Amino acid sequence: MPGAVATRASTADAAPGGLRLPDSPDLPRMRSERHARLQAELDRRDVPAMLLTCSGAVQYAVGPSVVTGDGGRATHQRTSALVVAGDDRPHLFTPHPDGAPPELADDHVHPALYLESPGGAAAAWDAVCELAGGPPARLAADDLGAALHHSLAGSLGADGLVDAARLLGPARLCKTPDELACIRAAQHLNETAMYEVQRALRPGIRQTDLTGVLLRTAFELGATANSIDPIWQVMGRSRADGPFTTNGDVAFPLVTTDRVLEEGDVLWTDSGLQVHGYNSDFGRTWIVSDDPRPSPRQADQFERWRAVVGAVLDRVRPGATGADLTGAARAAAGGDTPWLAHFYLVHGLGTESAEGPLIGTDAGPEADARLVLAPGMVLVIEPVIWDDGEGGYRSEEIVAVTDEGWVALSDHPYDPFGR
Amino acid sequence: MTVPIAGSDAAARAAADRVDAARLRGHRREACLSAMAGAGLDALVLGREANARYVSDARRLWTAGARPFGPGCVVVAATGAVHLLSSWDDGVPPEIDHDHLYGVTWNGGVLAAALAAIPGLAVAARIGVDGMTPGTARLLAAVAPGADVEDATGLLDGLRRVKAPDEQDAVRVAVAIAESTLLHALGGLRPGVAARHLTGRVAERMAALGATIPDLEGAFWATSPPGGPAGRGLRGPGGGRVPAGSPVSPGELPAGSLVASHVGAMVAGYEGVVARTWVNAPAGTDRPEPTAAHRRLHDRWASLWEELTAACRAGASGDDLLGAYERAGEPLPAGPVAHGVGLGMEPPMVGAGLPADAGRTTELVPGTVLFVVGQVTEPAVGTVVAGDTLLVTGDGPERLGSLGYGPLAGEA
Repeated sequence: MPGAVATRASTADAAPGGLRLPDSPDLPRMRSERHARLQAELDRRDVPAMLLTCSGAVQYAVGPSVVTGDGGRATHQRTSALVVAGDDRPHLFTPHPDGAPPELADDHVHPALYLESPGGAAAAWDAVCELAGGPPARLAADDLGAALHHSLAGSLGADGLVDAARLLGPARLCKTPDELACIRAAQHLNETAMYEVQRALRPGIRQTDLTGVLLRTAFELGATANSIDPIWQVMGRSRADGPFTTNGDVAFPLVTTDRVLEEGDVLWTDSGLQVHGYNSDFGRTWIVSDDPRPSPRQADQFERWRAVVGAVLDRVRPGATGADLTGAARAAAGGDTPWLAHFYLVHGLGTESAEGPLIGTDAGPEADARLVLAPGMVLVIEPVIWDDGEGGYRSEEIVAVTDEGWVALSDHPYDPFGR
Repeated sequence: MTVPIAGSDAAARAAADRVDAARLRGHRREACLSAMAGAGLDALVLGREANARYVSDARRLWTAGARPFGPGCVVVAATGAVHLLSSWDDGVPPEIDHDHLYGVTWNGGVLAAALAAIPGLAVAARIGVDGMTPGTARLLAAVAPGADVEDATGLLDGLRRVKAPDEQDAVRVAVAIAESTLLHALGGLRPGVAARHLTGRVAERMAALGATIPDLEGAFWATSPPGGPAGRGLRGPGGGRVPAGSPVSPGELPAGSLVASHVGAMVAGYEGVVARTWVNAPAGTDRPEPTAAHRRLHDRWASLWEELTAACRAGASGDDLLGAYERAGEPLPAGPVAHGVGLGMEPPMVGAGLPADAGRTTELVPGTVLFVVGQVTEPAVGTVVAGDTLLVTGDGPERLGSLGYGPLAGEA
């Protein structure tokens, strides 16, 4: 619903970098612009090559179609990427070569690397050296596997291995308009599938049944992957109800089981479906009932949650800091800290389900003060209102920072609490 | 709600009752500590979720794909304790005390302090790991400055290689769910149906059987659309062109085509996986009619399958499975022709392009569980690919599932 989204913005100029969000992403342009950003980071840090083996990073660097699955499968049938400084495109190593982006030349598509054995690690390094024009003096990497890391730590030395996150983080922080269009499309798909789940929600259904409805609908609608086991957590009323937590805060998110939902259960939901490698993030509070009606206390929690989101959004514009947002959220919550202690008030979203900017984490207020909002940043705002003994309310809103303010990327009603 | 397939749900649920989870995790933890003692390791720092699951049996939130190595689970030889990255005790077995949990953090200093507080880790002389990133290497060097950090991938693979009877039963449950799921999904196969419709049916059915974690998202692809799949110009290994669809470019499943499928479910961490090739009905009908060429291709698959299962015996190795393709006169396909089945995909990994030390030369012994794939191609006809999970016993292989081979095999 692009029209609905366009009306949910802080200003008429709903665009980052002076560019309007396209209705649908131009994927070759998006991949080309991401590659240019990685090249700029390699140049800035004087790193000649970057080897990426983890799913979200490879999606960013190359953007291949893959078979999504469990970590064991993804580890033993890796899809990897090599970005060589000065090259005009990335290299892809994959068990599914026909999943390579169509514009990627054949000489940049290679058989999969295997990093889980010494022999595989040695062959992988030979391939990297050949494509990089000889052994690179320094290498940025994410997970090299134990064998390859061990041998490279010896040959490249302590300063020769650079954490790829240091290059990926800045490159990914501000999205291009095409990336924002992908996230908006993924979010719209997730929200559309959630209407089907809400239709199925009633006393007697199991948590796992809700997962079935969500995923069936999402794949029918064209989701390219599901990135997280969907959450339908039945919330207790007080922290003492458990489970035990290491920080004393409310435990969330807990793993879905075949628990049967009952009249009056309060659910906190969370799901992440992908389109073109980009994640969505759906969070709402629901009440299980044939006739769900929030109690006055629950309705009050929702209003307080909405006040926190409103206060945060009032501060969202280029130049504002993460500390401005945490300050606004606390002020709107009467001085309390209205988010979970083990998470954040705000996280970013992209080819990872949680990436920068992270605001309100235990990295501390200095980190929030250093974080300056800029056009293209995606903010998933997820405050939590908790009245111990009376339970709580949690939902998520997603916006992108624009030149003047923000534009909404999420658009879903708050039933049964409000529209 | 879905309509159950007669027998399948009951089989899956009955099998679930056979696994003694407490006995199984006790067995795994003792095996781990014993292997650490044998290797002289003071601690293990594990990042691969399957390895963490092996030693802890903790059920943590599942996310898809490969993630960077991090200290998700720590085992200390001197104390025998398992320490776990988890902010709560939900899904954590009772043997792991609350003070052995360390919470999620976004602060490297907090994580370093939590690790340093684990009794025995900071003073460890030898630490085994199952992956590594440059950042985590620096973290471990700061936490345990005197330690040699070593590759323990082989140690963990060795622990997981031979399946205890409880593990075999867990795999049986997962295979039953995968097969039931695949059969349900293929019930939606119609001329021209979108592959994503069947993927959706997989997710729905799996969840209805209580399994929400996929080993892989259900994949369906036509290997022989009438009119010639060669025109698609898909890329094969090394960039060459191959004349078939693939799991990553599924599209629609045309009338009369061979349709390959691959489905996997995870149950209590254990993998169940199945692959089959069905034949889609002609346009305007719902009864598949395999052609003579389809049947000849299936016969070639059946001959290959006979060679493959004969090679799955104690004392043999992955080399014998590769030899089965040679004996049957079939070229090796891209991707593994066999892989270990346990807490997800695991070694031995056997196939074209895989290094020898990924498991090709590993001896098969009673208790080895493999997913074995037969794949045969006739360019003008298509590809038949089908595979099953096999347990190596002293008396040859035992199939851990029971799904038939469908219309190509003359089954209804």
